[in-house]
Amino acid sequence: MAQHTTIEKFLHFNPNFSGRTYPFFLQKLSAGFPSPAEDIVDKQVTLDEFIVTNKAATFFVQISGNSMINAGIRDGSIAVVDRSLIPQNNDIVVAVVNNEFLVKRCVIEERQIILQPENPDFDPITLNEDMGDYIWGVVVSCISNFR
Amino acid sequence: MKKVAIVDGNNFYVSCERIFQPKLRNQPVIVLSNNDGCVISRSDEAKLLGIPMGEPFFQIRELVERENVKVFSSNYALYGDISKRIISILKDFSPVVEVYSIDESFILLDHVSPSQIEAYCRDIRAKILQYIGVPIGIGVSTTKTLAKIANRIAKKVPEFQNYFSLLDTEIHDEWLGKVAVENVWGIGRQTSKLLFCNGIRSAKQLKYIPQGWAKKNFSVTLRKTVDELNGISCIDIDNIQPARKSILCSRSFPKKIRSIDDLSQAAASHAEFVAAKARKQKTVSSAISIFTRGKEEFNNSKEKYYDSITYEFPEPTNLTSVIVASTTRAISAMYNEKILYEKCGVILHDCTPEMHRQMSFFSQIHTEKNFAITKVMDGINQKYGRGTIHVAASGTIDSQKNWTMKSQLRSQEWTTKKSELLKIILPK
Repeated sequence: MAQHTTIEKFLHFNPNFSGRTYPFFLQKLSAGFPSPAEDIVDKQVTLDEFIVTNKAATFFVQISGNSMINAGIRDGSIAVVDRSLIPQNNDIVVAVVNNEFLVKRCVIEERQIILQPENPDFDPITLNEDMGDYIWGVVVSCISNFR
Repeated sequence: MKKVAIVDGNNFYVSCERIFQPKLRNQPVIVLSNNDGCVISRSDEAKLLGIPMGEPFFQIRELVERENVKVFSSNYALYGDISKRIISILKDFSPVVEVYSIDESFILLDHVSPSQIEAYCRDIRAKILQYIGVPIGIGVSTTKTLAKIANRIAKKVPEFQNYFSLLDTEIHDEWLGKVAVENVWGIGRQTSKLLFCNGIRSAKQLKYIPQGWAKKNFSVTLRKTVDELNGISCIDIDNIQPARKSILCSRSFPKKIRSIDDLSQAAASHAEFVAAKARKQKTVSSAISIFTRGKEEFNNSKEKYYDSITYEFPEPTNLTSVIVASTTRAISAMYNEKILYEKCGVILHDCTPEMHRQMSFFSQIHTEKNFAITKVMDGINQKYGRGTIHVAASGTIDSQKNWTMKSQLRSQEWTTKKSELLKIILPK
């Protein structure tokens, strides 16, 4: 039985959003018997499990401005965008209109997609596919840091 | 029937740039190599302007300005990440994916029936285009060489919309006849010249090359290519990425270097890189070569000056400290003040899998302290970005500007750097 566990087993340095587990112990453990925690360490919950479903199609986008605050997106937050999803009615989407990126709630109609402004002073935008407008991806999550 | 497909990104680097810059669609766009030297990727619009692949940038500067061509420095962090994503999607479509290069992969499609192949491949294309935004082309056949030809045809004939199959042998001769022999995978420039002189000008002619004559005049590589053109698969698909036997890192300097300090720093930086790479693929190296290239200062001839030193390590290793130490020693030994240096590089030889390390009490280099230092350095660099912490021998940011790559026109690392994410500004 292991007398002590070497550094190699526990050092998992990881960049953000990698899905790897965070380190539990950072020094050698000396124990007379194997720690009951030993096998459980690897199964820590990770941030990816909450926000990333399709890793290859997931992108992070930084949001500036508060106009989508009613949707839960505030200035400085990171929107998690999944490009593999088909947009559904009322989804928050990242869209490209006139070659510019927008974040809006979408309304799916029979023949067209309309982007709703949060501010009632503004008009809704109809996506014009012939002009090259498209939905870039669906916002599935938003990360707001308080500190 | 064996079915192999090659999947490759169309104008890959340019396509990566267009993911986050949609206004580049329909515009002439080019991407330049390290040091902003040569054109390594062109959009279709740029191709139509007559910009050749590999053209030195300075030669097309005027055309670029006149036609408002958008120019970018290579952004390998971005391209590498996009490539990884594409490969991950391919793995959902095939049990065997062999990554051939940053933008090309071979996949096996034995599990798909011939009648379903086109729909299956178009599905792959549609998914990659939607999920990532990169258009790809797919060529399918029974051998890799034929698949590559199918892929080329898929791209060249717009009606095929980026998919073509050479599974049906009946159509082979018709299409192989249209492909020039120098465009066949595995036929290099010299070989194609020799073939051309002897009347072999198309892939079809190569397919039917007389065996005896081929055996007499060409290497076994050519014969394998000929077999593949005949539907005999000799170049296997590997699902494993074999660890590379040598690891090379070299760079040309943007401006020639004179001082031993600058040269030493550049070499030490390459040494760190190859050491980290060896560790990443879990291999150890037995020997190292350090080479330099330059020109004698007052010699007007075009002759280049080369020098190199090779050391054998006391034991196979991948420790940065040992690899950098041998590199700086080599530079000290080779340095010649009469030379204006243009390039230096480091090669780790004979990289073999790291066996479970026996901590040898008699080892001078594989000490617990050295392992620990290396581990911490790798950890920090992985978390905060490559080069966050490095050995003093490779210089400070200020001193490094003498020899680091010019990347003046590099776009953002949208997927690999927290500070460079796509930023969307919401209107008030």
